[in-house]
Amino acid sequence: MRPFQQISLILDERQLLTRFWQAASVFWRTQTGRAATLAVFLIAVVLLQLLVQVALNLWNRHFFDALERKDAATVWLQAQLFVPLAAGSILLAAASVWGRMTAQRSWREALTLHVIEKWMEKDRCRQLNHLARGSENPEYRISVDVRIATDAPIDLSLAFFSSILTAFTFFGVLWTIGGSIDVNAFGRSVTIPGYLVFGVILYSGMITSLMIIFGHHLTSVIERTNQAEAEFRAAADTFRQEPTPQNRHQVDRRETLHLKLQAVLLWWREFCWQLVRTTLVSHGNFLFAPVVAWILCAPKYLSGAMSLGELTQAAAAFVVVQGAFNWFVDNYQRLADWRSSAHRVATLLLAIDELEAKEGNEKKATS
Amino acid sequence: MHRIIVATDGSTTANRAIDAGASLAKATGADLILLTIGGSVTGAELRTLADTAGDLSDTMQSAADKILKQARRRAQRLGVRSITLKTGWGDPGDAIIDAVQRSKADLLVVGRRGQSRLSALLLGSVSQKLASFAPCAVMVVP
Repeated sequence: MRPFQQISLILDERQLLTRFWQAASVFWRTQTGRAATLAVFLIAVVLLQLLVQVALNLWNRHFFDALERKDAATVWLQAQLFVPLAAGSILLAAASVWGRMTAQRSWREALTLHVIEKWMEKDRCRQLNHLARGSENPEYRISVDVRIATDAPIDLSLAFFSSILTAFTFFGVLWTIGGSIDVNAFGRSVTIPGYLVFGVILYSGMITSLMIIFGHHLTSVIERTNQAEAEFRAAADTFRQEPTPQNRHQVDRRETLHLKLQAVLLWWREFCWQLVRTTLVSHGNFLFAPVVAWILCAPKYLSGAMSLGELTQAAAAFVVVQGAFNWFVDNYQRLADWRSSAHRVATLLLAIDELEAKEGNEKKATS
Repeated sequence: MHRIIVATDGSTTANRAIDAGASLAKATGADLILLTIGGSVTGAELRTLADTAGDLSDTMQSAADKILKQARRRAQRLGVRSITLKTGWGDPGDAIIDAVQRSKADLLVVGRRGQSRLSALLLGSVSQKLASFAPCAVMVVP
Protein backbone atom coordinates (compact mmCIF):
# COMPACT_ATOMS: atom_id res chain seq x y z
CA MET A 1 0.00 0.00 0.00
CA ARG A 2 1.30 3.43 -0.92
CA PRO A 3 1.70 5.80 1.99
CA PHE A 4 -1.14 8.28 2.36
CA GLN A 5 -0.61 11.99 2.50
CA GLN A 6 -1.11 13.78 5.79
CA ILE A 7 -4.77 14.58 6.34
CA SER A 8 -5.49 17.98 7.83
CA LEU A 9 -8.96 18.57 9.14
CA ILE A 10 -10.25 22.13 9.02
CA LEU A 11 -13.86 21.89 10.05
CA ASP A 12 -16.67 24.22 10.93
CA GLU A 13 -19.14 23.89 13.79
CA ARG A 14 -22.06 22.82 11.58
CA GLN A 15 -20.05 20.11 9.83
CA LEU A 16 -18.91 18.74 13.20
CA LEU A 17 -22.35 18.70 14.81
CA THR A 18 -23.96 17.16 11.70
CA ARG A 19 -21.37 14.38 11.69
CA PHE A 20 -21.79 13.81 15.43
CA TRP A 21 -25.59 13.53 15.28
CA GLN A 22 -25.36 11.32 12.21
CA ALA A 23 -23.32 8.83 14.23
CA ALA A 24 -25.04 9.43 17.56
CA SER A 25 -28.49 8.72 16.12
CA VAL A 26 -27.42 5.10 15.55
CA PHE A 27 -28.97 4.09 18.90
CA TRP A 28 -32.29 5.79 18.18
CA ARG A 29 -32.38 4.33 14.64
CA THR A 30 -31.29 0.75 15.28
CA GLN A 31 -32.79 0.07 18.72
CA THR A 32 -36.05 1.91 18.19
CA GLY A 33 -38.12 -0.22 20.61
CA ARG A 34 -35.75 0.14 23.55
CA ALA A 35 -35.06 3.79 22.84
CA ALA A 36 -38.78 4.65 22.59
CA THR A 37 -39.58 2.74 25.82
CA LEU A 38 -36.88 4.62 27.71
CA ALA A 39 -37.98 7.97 26.25
CA VAL A 40 -41.63 7.36 27.23
CA PHE A 41 -40.56 6.24 30.72
CA LEU A 42 -38.44 9.36 31.24
CA ILE A 43 -41.15 11.70 29.97
CA ALA A 44 -43.68 9.98 32.27
CA VAL A 45 -41.31 10.45 35.23
CA VAL A 46 -40.95 14.17 34.43
CA LEU A 47 -44.74 14.58 34.25
CA LEU A 48 -45.27 12.70 37.52
CA GLN A 49 -42.54 14.76 39.20
CA LEU A 50 -44.34 17.90 38.11
CA LEU A 51 -47.60 16.54 39.52
CA VAL A 52 -45.94 15.84 42.89
CA GLN A 53 -44.32 19.29 42.83
CA VAL A 54 -47.74 20.93 42.33
CA ALA A 55 -49.20 18.77 45.12
CA LEU A 56 -46.36 19.79 47.45
CA ASN A 57 -46.92 23.43 46.55
CA LEU A 58 -50.61 23.08 47.46
CA TRP A 59 -49.65 21.24 50.62
CA ASN A 60 -47.57 24.29 51.62
CA ARG A 61 -50.64 26.48 51.36
CA HIS A 62 -52.93 24.16 53.35
CA PHE A 63 -50.34 23.51 56.05
CA PHE A 64 -49.56 27.19 56.67
CA ASP A 65 -53.24 28.19 56.50
CA ALA A 66 -53.96 25.60 59.20
CA LEU A 67 -51.07 26.96 61.27
CA GLU A 68 -52.42 30.51 60.91
CA ARG A 69 -55.88 29.34 62.05
CA LYS A 70 -54.26 27.30 64.86
CA ASP A 71 -56.26 24.33 63.52
CA ALA A 72 -54.45 21.37 65.12
CA ALA A 73 -56.53 18.68 63.38
CA THR A 74 -55.72 20.01 59.88
CA VAL A 75 -52.05 20.51 60.77
CA TRP A 76 -51.91 16.85 61.83
CA LEU A 77 -53.76 15.73 58.68
CA GLN A 78 -51.39 17.74 56.47
CA ALA A 79 -48.40 16.29 58.31
CA GLN A 80 -49.71 12.80 57.50
CA LEU A 81 -50.35 13.77 53.88
CA PHE A 82 -46.76 14.93 53.53
CA VAL A 83 -45.44 11.37 54.00
CA PRO A 84 -46.92 9.85 50.78
CA LEU A 85 -46.06 13.02 48.86
CA ALA A 86 -42.44 12.90 50.02
CA ALA A 87 -42.28 9.16 49.35
CA GLY A 88 -43.62 9.72 45.83
CA SER A 89 -41.10 12.47 45.21
CA ILE A 90 -38.21 10.32 46.49
CA LEU A 91 -39.25 7.29 44.42
CA LEU A 92 -39.64 9.40 41.29
CA ALA A 93 -36.19 10.95 41.81
CA ALA A 94 -34.71 7.43 42.10
CA ALA A 95 -36.66 6.25 39.02
CA SER A 96 -35.41 9.27 37.10
CA VAL A 97 -31.79 8.41 37.95
CA TRP A 98 -32.33 4.81 36.82
CA GLY A 99 -34.05 5.86 33.59
CA ARG A 100 -31.50 8.50 32.69
CA MET A 101 -28.48 6.33 33.42
CA THR A 102 -29.95 3.34 31.59
CA ALA A 103 -30.67 5.47 28.53
CA GLN A 104 -27.20 7.02 28.72
CA ARG A 105 -25.53 3.61 29.06
CA SER A 106 -27.41 2.17 26.11
CA TRP A 107 -26.72 5.19 23.94
CA ARG A 108 -23.06 5.20 24.89
CA GLU A 109 -22.76 1.49 24.10
CA ALA A 110 -24.30 1.93 20.65
CA LEU A 111 -22.17 4.96 19.72
CA THR A 112 -18.94 3.51 21.15
CA LEU A 113 -19.42 0.26 19.20
CA HIS A 114 -20.15 2.23 16.05
CA VAL A 115 -16.98 4.33 16.41
CA ILE A 116 -14.82 1.32 17.37
CA GLU A 117 -16.10 -0.57 14.34
CA LYS A 118 -15.09 2.23 11.99
CA TRP A 119 -11.81 2.89 13.81
CA MET A 120 -10.60 -0.73 13.78
CA GLU A 121 -11.72 -1.64 10.26
CA LYS A 122 -8.82 -2.25 7.83
CA ASP A 123 -6.27 -1.33 10.49
CA ARG A 124 -7.29 2.34 10.33
CA CYS A 125 -6.50 2.77 14.03
CA ARG A 126 -2.78 2.48 13.22
CA GLN A 127 -2.87 4.59 10.08
CA LEU A 128 -4.71 7.43 11.80
CA ASN A 129 -1.87 7.86 14.29
CA HIS A 130 0.38 9.09 11.52
CA LEU A 131 -2.06 10.64 9.11
CA ALA A 132 -4.72 12.80 10.57
CA ARG A 133 -4.21 16.01 12.47
CA GLY A 134 -7.07 16.76 14.83
CA SER A 135 -7.76 13.12 15.64
CA GLU A 136 -4.99 12.67 18.21
CA ASN A 137 -5.64 10.53 21.27
CA PRO A 138 -8.46 8.45 19.70
CA GLU A 139 -8.67 6.11 22.72
CA TYR A 140 -9.67 9.02 24.95
CA ARG A 141 -12.19 10.27 22.40
CA ILE A 142 -13.75 6.82 22.16
CA SER A 143 -13.94 6.23 25.92
CA VAL A 144 -14.41 9.59 27.65
CA ASP A 145 -15.67 11.95 24.94
CA VAL A 146 -18.32 9.51 23.70
CA ARG A 147 -19.53 9.13 27.30
CA ILE A 148 -19.81 12.88 27.87
CA ALA A 149 -21.34 13.43 24.44
CA THR A 150 -24.10 10.88 25.13
CA ASP A 151 -24.65 11.63 28.84
CA ALA A 152 -25.25 15.34 28.57
CA PRO A 153 -27.99 15.46 25.86
CA ILE A 154 -30.27 13.20 27.94
CA ASP A 155 -29.80 15.17 31.18
CA LEU A 156 -29.99 18.53 29.43
CA SER A 157 -33.05 17.77 27.30
CA LEU A 158 -34.97 16.28 30.23
CA ALA A 159 -34.06 19.27 32.40
CA PHE A 160 -35.17 21.61 29.60
CA PHE A 161 -38.47 19.78 29.10
CA SER A 162 -39.08 19.78 32.85
CA SER A 163 -38.20 23.50 33.12
CA ILE A 164 -40.65 24.49 30.39
CA LEU A 165 -43.50 22.46 31.92
CA THR A 166 -42.68 23.69 35.44
CA ALA A 167 -42.52 27.33 34.37
CA PHE A 168 -45.91 27.22 32.60
CA THR A 169 -47.62 25.21 35.35
CA PHE A 170 -46.43 27.50 38.12
CA PHE A 171 -47.22 30.60 36.10
CA GLY A 172 -50.80 29.49 36.63
CA VAL A 173 -50.24 29.20 40.37
CA LEU A 174 -48.63 32.64 40.55
CA TRP A 175 -51.36 34.23 38.42
CA THR A 176 -54.18 32.72 40.49
CA ILE A 177 -52.70 33.16 43.97
CA GLY A 178 -50.96 36.49 43.38
CA GLY A 179 -53.88 38.07 41.57
CA SER A 180 -53.61 41.75 40.80
CA ILE A 181 -52.09 44.56 42.79
CA ASP A 182 -52.81 48.29 42.82
CA VAL A 183 -49.77 50.50 42.56
CA ASN A 184 -49.87 54.26 43.10
CA ALA A 185 -47.59 56.04 40.67
CA PHE A 186 -47.50 59.76 39.84
CA GLY A 187 -50.76 60.33 41.69
CA ARG A 188 -52.60 57.65 39.72
CA SER A 189 -53.57 54.15 40.76
CA VAL A 190 -52.51 51.43 38.33
CA THR A 191 -53.72 47.84 38.57
CA ILE A 192 -51.19 45.18 37.55
CA PRO A 193 -52.91 41.85 36.86
CA GLY A 194 -50.94 38.69 37.72
CA TYR A 195 -48.19 40.87 39.12
CA LEU A 196 -46.20 37.91 40.49
CA VAL A 197 -45.88 36.50 36.97
CA PHE A 198 -44.45 39.80 35.75
CA GLY A 199 -42.27 39.94 38.86
CA VAL A 200 -40.76 36.52 38.23
CA ILE A 201 -40.22 37.25 34.53
CA LEU A 202 -38.47 40.54 35.35
CA TYR A 203 -36.36 39.04 38.12
CA SER A 204 -35.37 35.97 36.04
CA GLY A 205 -34.62 38.18 33.05
CA MET A 206 -32.34 40.29 35.22
CA ILE A 207 -30.49 37.25 36.62
CA THR A 208 -30.06 35.67 33.18
CA SER A 209 -28.81 38.98 31.75
CA LEU A 210 -26.34 39.35 34.63
CA MET A 211 -25.16 35.79 34.09
CA ILE A 212 -24.66 36.43 30.37
CA ILE A 213 -22.75 39.64 31.12
CA PHE A 214 -20.60 38.07 33.83
CA GLY A 215 -20.03 34.71 32.15
CA HIS A 216 -20.35 35.23 28.43
CA HIS A 217 -16.87 33.79 27.85
CA LEU A 218 -17.50 30.76 30.06
CA THR A 219 -18.60 28.25 27.41
CA SER A 220 -15.75 29.06 25.04
CA VAL A 221 -13.22 29.03 27.91
CA ILE A 222 -14.47 25.61 29.07
CA GLU A 223 -14.25 24.33 25.52
CA ARG A 224 -10.69 25.62 25.19
CA THR A 225 -9.75 24.15 28.59
CA ASN A 226 -11.01 20.74 27.50
CA GLN A 227 -9.22 21.06 24.17
CA ALA A 228 -5.97 22.05 25.90
CA GLU A 229 -6.29 19.04 28.24
CA ALA A 230 -6.76 16.78 25.20
CA GLU A 231 -3.71 18.28 23.46
CA PHE A 232 -1.64 17.82 26.62
CA ARG A 233 -2.66 14.15 26.82
CA ALA A 234 -1.86 13.71 23.12
CA ALA A 235 1.60 15.29 23.60
CA ALA A 236 2.30 13.01 26.57
CA ASP A 237 1.12 10.03 24.55
CA THR A 238 3.45 10.91 21.65
CA PHE A 239 6.32 11.27 24.11
CA ARG A 240 5.60 7.80 25.49
CA GLN A 241 5.34 6.22 22.04
CA GLU A 242 8.71 7.55 20.83
CA PRO A 243 10.66 4.29 20.21
CA THR A 244 14.26 5.12 21.13
CA PRO A 245 14.42 8.87 21.38
CA GLN A 246 17.43 10.83 20.28
CA ASN A 247 18.59 13.26 22.92
CA ARG A 248 17.66 16.29 20.82
CA HIS A 249 14.27 14.84 20.02
CA GLN A 250 13.63 14.22 23.69
CA VAL A 251 14.45 17.85 24.53
CA ASP A 252 11.99 19.06 21.87
CA ARG A 253 9.30 16.71 23.15
CA ARG A 254 9.90 17.87 26.72
CA GLU A 255 9.54 21.49 25.59
CA THR A 256 6.31 20.63 23.78
CA LEU A 257 4.97 18.89 26.87
CA HIS A 258 5.80 21.91 29.02
CA LEU A 259 4.19 24.22 26.46
CA LYS A 260 1.00 22.14 26.43
CA LEU A 261 0.96 22.03 30.23
CA GLN A 262 1.35 25.80 30.35
CA ALA A 263 -1.60 26.17 27.96
CA VAL A 264 -3.70 23.88 30.20
CA LEU A 265 -2.78 25.89 33.31
CA LEU A 266 -3.51 29.22 31.65
CA TRP A 267 -6.93 28.03 30.49
CA TRP A 268 -7.65 26.73 34.01
CA ARG A 269 -6.67 30.12 35.43
CA GLU A 270 -9.16 31.82 33.10
CA PHE A 271 -11.79 29.17 33.86
CA CYS A 272 -11.29 29.90 37.56
CA TRP A 273 -11.91 33.62 37.00
CA GLN A 274 -14.98 32.92 34.88
CA LEU A 275 -16.38 30.72 37.67
CA VAL A 276 -15.59 33.38 40.27
CA ARG A 277 -17.56 35.92 38.22
CA THR A 278 -20.56 33.65 37.61
CA THR A 279 -20.60 32.56 41.26
CA LEU A 280 -21.17 36.20 42.24
CA VAL A 281 -24.42 36.05 40.27
CA SER A 282 -25.50 32.48 41.06
CA HIS A 283 -24.87 32.74 44.79
CA GLY A 284 -26.48 36.18 44.88
CA ASN A 285 -29.51 34.66 43.17
CA PHE A 286 -29.56 31.77 45.66
CA LEU A 287 -29.86 34.31 48.50
CA PHE A 288 -32.12 36.86 46.84
CA ALA A 289 -34.72 34.74 44.95
CA PRO A 290 -36.72 33.56 48.03
CA VAL A 291 -36.48 36.99 49.69
CA VAL A 292 -37.67 38.78 46.52
CA ALA A 293 -40.64 36.42 46.43
CA TRP A 294 -41.55 37.16 50.06
CA ILE A 295 -41.14 40.90 49.53
CA LEU A 296 -43.36 40.86 46.43
CA CYS A 297 -46.08 38.98 48.31
CA ALA A 298 -45.77 40.99 51.53
CA PRO A 299 -48.04 43.95 50.53
CA LYS A 300 -50.98 41.61 49.81
CA TYR A 301 -50.40 39.60 52.98
CA LEU A 302 -50.14 42.75 55.12
CA SER A 303 -53.32 44.15 53.59
CA GLY A 304 -55.10 40.90 54.45
CA ALA A 305 -55.75 40.01 50.80
CA MET A 306 -53.51 36.94 51.04
CA SER A 307 -53.40 34.25 53.73
CA LEU A 308 -50.14 32.92 55.21
CA GLY A 309 -50.68 29.68 53.28
CA GLU A 310 -51.12 31.56 50.00
CA LEU A 311 -48.04 33.63 50.80
CA THR A 312 -45.85 30.54 51.28
CA GLN A 313 -47.38 28.85 48.23
CA ALA A 314 -46.77 31.90 46.04
CA ALA A 315 -43.23 32.35 47.36
CA ALA A 316 -42.44 28.66 46.72
CA ALA A 317 -43.95 28.88 43.21
CA PHE A 318 -41.88 32.01 42.53
CA VAL A 319 -38.67 30.17 43.44
CA VAL A 320 -39.70 27.13 41.35
CA VAL A 321 -40.43 29.25 38.25
CA GLN A 322 -37.25 31.23 38.76
CA GLY A 323 -35.30 27.96 38.99
CA ALA A 324 -36.93 26.74 35.77
CA PHE A 325 -35.92 29.96 34.00
CA ASN A 326 -32.38 29.32 35.15
CA TRP A 327 -32.03 26.20 32.98
CA PHE A 328 -29.58 27.85 30.62
CA VAL A 329 -27.60 29.50 33.42
CA ASP A 330 -27.39 26.28 35.45
CA ASN A 331 -26.30 24.21 32.47
CA TYR A 332 -23.74 26.58 30.96
CA GLN A 333 -20.84 24.35 31.97
CA ARG A 334 -22.40 21.06 30.87
CA LEU A 335 -23.36 22.54 27.51
CA ALA A 336 -19.77 23.59 26.95
CA ASP A 337 -18.43 20.19 28.04
CA TRP A 338 -20.87 18.47 25.71
CA ARG A 339 -19.99 20.71 22.78
CA SER A 340 -16.26 20.08 23.07
CA SER A 341 -16.69 16.32 23.49
CA ALA A 342 -19.12 16.11 20.56
CA HIS A 343 -16.61 18.09 18.48
CA ARG A 344 -13.79 15.70 19.35
CA VAL A 345 -15.85 12.60 18.54
CA ALA A 346 -16.93 14.18 15.26
CA THR A 347 -13.33 15.11 14.35
CA LEU A 348 -12.26 11.51 14.82
CA LEU A 349 -15.18 10.24 12.72
CA LEU A 350 -14.43 12.74 9.95
CA ALA A 351 -10.76 11.72 9.95
CA ILE A 352 -11.86 8.09 9.54
CA ASP A 353 -14.27 9.13 6.74
CA GLU A 354 -11.41 10.94 5.02
CA LEU A 355 -9.21 7.88 5.30
CA GLU A 356 -12.05 5.71 3.98
CA ALA A 357 -12.44 8.02 0.98
CA LYS A 358 -8.69 7.87 0.28
CA GLU A 359 -8.78 4.06 0.49
CA GLY A 360 -11.54 4.11 -2.12
CA ASN A 361 -9.51 6.37 -4.40
CA GLU A 362 -6.43 4.14 -3.99
CA LYS A 363 -8.49 1.09 -4.92
CA LYS A 364 -9.87 2.77 -8.03
CA ALA A 365 -6.38 3.90 -9.08
CA THR A 366 -4.88 0.38 -8.75
CA SER A 367 -7.76 -1.48 -10.49
CA MET B 1 33.98 29.78 30.92
CA HIS B 2 32.23 27.48 28.40
CA ARG B 3 28.58 28.37 28.45
CA ILE B 4 26.74 31.61 29.23
CA ILE B 5 22.98 31.65 29.45
CA VAL B 6 21.02 34.89 29.10
CA ALA B 7 17.35 35.02 30.06
CA THR B 8 15.25 37.51 28.13
CA ASP B 9 11.64 38.62 28.02
CA GLY B 10 12.17 41.15 25.24
CA SER B 11 12.25 44.14 27.63
CA THR B 12 14.82 46.95 27.59
CA THR B 13 16.47 45.60 30.74
CA ALA B 14 16.66 42.16 29.16
CA ASN B 15 18.28 43.71 26.09
CA ARG B 16 21.00 45.15 28.33
CA ALA B 17 21.46 41.65 29.78
CA ILE B 18 21.86 40.26 26.24
CA ASP B 19 24.48 42.91 25.46
CA ALA B 20 26.43 42.07 28.62
CA GLY B 21 26.15 38.31 28.07
CA ALA B 22 27.10 38.57 24.38
CA SER B 23 30.13 40.76 25.12
CA LEU B 24 31.32 38.26 27.73
CA ALA B 25 30.73 35.31 25.38
CA LYS B 26 32.71 37.01 22.65
CA ALA B 27 35.56 37.92 25.00
CA THR B 28 35.81 34.44 26.52
CA GLY B 29 34.85 32.38 23.45
CA ALA B 30 31.99 30.80 25.37
CA ASP B 31 28.81 29.45 23.79
CA LEU B 32 25.82 31.75 24.26
CA ILE B 33 22.42 30.33 25.15
CA LEU B 34 19.48 32.70 24.81
CA LEU B 35 16.52 31.66 26.90
CA THR B 36 13.02 33.00 27.13
CA ILE B 37 10.24 31.84 29.41
CA GLY B 38 6.93 31.93 27.58
CA GLY B 39 3.41 31.77 28.83
CA SER B 40 2.72 35.18 30.31
CA VAL B 41 -0.70 35.68 28.76
CA THR B 42 -3.25 38.09 30.21
CA GLY B 43 -6.88 37.22 30.92
CA ALA B 44 -8.05 39.64 28.20
CA GLU B 45 -5.79 37.94 25.64
CA LEU B 46 -7.14 34.52 26.67
CA ARG B 47 -10.75 35.67 26.36
CA THR B 48 -10.04 37.04 22.89
CA LEU B 49 -8.44 33.73 21.90
CA ALA B 50 -11.38 31.79 23.35
CA ASP B 51 -13.82 33.70 21.13
CA THR B 52 -11.76 33.32 17.97
CA ALA B 53 -10.08 30.41 16.24
CA GLY B 54 -6.67 31.32 17.70
CA ASP B 55 -4.57 28.57 19.28
CA LEU B 56 -2.97 29.37 22.64
CA SER B 57 0.04 27.06 22.21
CA ASP B 58 0.80 28.53 18.78
CA THR B 59 0.35 32.08 20.11
CA MET B 60 2.71 31.46 23.03
CA GLN B 61 5.22 29.65 20.83
CA SER B 62 5.34 32.40 18.23
CA ALA B 63 5.62 35.12 20.90
CA ALA B 64 8.57 33.24 22.43
CA ASP B 65 10.14 32.67 18.98
CA LYS B 66 9.85 36.38 18.20
CA ILE B 67 11.64 37.36 21.42
CA LEU B 68 14.39 34.81 20.79
CA LYS B 69 14.94 35.85 17.17
CA GLN B 70 15.29 39.48 18.17
CA ALA B 71 17.72 38.47 20.93
CA ARG B 72 19.77 36.40 18.47
CA ARG B 73 20.02 39.31 16.00
CA ARG B 74 21.21 41.53 18.86
CA ALA B 75 23.84 39.01 19.96
CA GLN B 76 25.00 38.41 16.37
CA ARG B 77 25.47 42.16 15.87
CA LEU B 78 27.88 42.03 18.82
CA GLY B 79 29.86 39.35 17.01
CA VAL B 80 28.80 36.15 18.79
CA ARG B 81 28.61 33.16 16.44
CA SER B 82 27.73 30.16 18.59
CA ILE B 83 24.18 30.88 19.74
CA THR B 84 21.56 28.39 20.94
CA LEU B 85 17.94 29.37 21.41
CA LYS B 86 15.87 27.86 24.19
CA THR B 87 12.29 28.25 25.41
CA GLY B 88 10.99 27.36 28.85
CA TRP B 89 7.43 27.43 30.17
CA GLY B 90 5.84 28.09 33.52
CA ASP B 91 7.15 29.94 36.56
CA PRO B 92 10.06 32.09 35.24
CA GLY B 93 12.35 31.51 38.26
CA ASP B 94 11.91 27.73 38.30
CA ALA B 95 12.07 27.40 34.51
CA ILE B 96 15.32 29.43 34.31
CA ILE B 97 16.97 27.37 37.08
CA ASP B 98 15.86 24.19 35.29
CA ALA B 99 17.35 25.43 32.00
CA VAL B 100 20.64 26.39 33.73
CA GLN B 101 20.89 22.92 35.27
CA ARG B 102 20.13 21.15 31.99
CA SER B 103 22.53 23.21 29.90
CA LYS B 104 25.27 23.10 32.59
CA ALA B 105 25.88 26.83 32.12
CA ASP B 106 28.73 28.55 33.98
CA LEU B 107 27.11 31.96 34.12
CA LEU B 108 23.53 33.20 34.11
CA VAL B 109 22.85 36.78 32.99
CA VAL B 110 19.50 38.41 33.76
CA GLY B 111 18.00 41.89 33.81
CA ARG B 112 17.10 43.31 37.20
CA ARG B 113 13.41 44.00 36.58
CA GLY B 114 11.02 42.00 34.47
CA GLN B 115 7.88 41.66 36.49
CA SER B 116 5.52 44.42 37.49
CA ARG B 117 6.23 46.15 40.78
CA LEU B 118 3.09 44.70 42.37
CA SER B 119 3.85 41.09 41.47
CA ALA B 120 7.48 41.58 42.51
CA LEU B 121 6.26 42.85 45.88
CA LEU B 122 3.85 39.94 46.29
CA LEU B 123 5.88 37.10 44.88
CA GLY B 124 9.45 38.31 45.11
CA SER B 125 11.47 39.29 42.06
CA VAL B 126 12.77 36.68 39.65
CA SER B 127 16.30 38.05 39.74
CA GLN B 128 16.36 37.80 43.56
CA LYS B 129 15.21 34.19 43.38
CA LEU B 130 17.84 33.37 40.75
CA ALA B 131 20.62 35.05 42.69
CA SER B 132 19.72 32.90 45.68
CA PHE B 133 19.02 29.53 44.05
CA ALA B 134 20.77 29.32 40.63
CA PRO B 135 23.45 26.58 40.54
CA CYS B 136 25.99 28.87 38.84
CA ALA B 137 27.33 32.43 38.98
CA VAL B 138 24.60 35.00 38.36
CA MET B 139 25.09 38.44 36.81
CA VAL B 140 22.17 40.82 37.38
CA VAL B 141 22.24 43.71 34.90
CA PRO B 142 20.57 46.96 36.07
